[in-house]
Amino acid sequence: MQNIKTNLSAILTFLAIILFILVMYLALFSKNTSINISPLVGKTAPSFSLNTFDNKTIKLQNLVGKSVVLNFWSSWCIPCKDETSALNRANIRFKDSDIVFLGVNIWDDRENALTFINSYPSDYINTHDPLNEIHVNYGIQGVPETFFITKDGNILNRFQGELNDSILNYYCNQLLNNK
Amino acid sequence: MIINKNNLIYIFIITSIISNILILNTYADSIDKQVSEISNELLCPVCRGQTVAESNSDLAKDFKNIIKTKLQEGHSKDEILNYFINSYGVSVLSSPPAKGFRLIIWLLPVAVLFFGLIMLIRFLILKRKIQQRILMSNENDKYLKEVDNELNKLD
Repeated sequence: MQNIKTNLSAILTFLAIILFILVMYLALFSKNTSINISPLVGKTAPSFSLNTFDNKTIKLQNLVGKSVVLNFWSSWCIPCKDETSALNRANIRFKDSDIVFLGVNIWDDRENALTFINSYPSDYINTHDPLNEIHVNYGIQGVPETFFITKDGNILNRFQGELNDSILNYYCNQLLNNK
Repeated sequence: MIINKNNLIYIFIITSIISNILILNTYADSIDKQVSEISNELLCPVCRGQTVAESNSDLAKDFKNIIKTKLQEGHSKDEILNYFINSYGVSVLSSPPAKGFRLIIWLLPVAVLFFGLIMLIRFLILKRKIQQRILMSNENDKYLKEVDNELNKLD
């Protein structure tokens, strides 16, 4: 009887230690999915109706059949300035590939956004959301952030941070290879 | 006091205006209260450990505006929370739902408490047993000493 009690106590202690190690491991080393992977990836992209700075309207539903690179930026964001040239180059490289590059200005005022566009000219279309909702619809946590939307309107991927040529090549080719 | 037709119309208009103001105020208060309640259930994604209600970040302000707009459009609290979950994932909730793996978050403290209680009870029982044994061994020593004394006397 005494032996059973001793064994039980040892097993319980062992289990407690294993549980503690498991919890600590998960807390320290598991990937925080809320930060790295958007819950929108693989789902239908939230619809939007954006205004260009010369007051034209661009709707996602009008872009069906084309892949979309949706880049969120702000005038005060330094990486946003740095990635403009990479976006311009990608826009030229994938010009004949049915990929539409769209810049979306958020957390900004119009004047600052226009100054940014004049200082860092882009060949692709820049827009803003009059309803100020698109960034929440897309679960934006900071700028720059970029969504890659397939021809059939699904979100293929999200990239948080500054884009460069190789990152854009990688994701744009993924868009082209997506059937 | 003579109340003519014109006076009655004035009284009616003034009463209507006052009641409308009161109703609108109550409605605004109720909306603000609901905004605050829902904001407390959402974590600000760009702040560390702050709810949307506590945060003054741009994103938290956008959240509050969207909550208000959606309430005014007639959306329910659950619909609004689901809207944010769809965009930011379930981790946007300040209290994660007790489902699947997240159930551990709720059960672990209870399990640890229960395990700790069992260990404490076992420790107290063991301590008591050891004390009893020590007491018994002391009594035995006393008895043995007496036996030794008696034997010495016989010698």
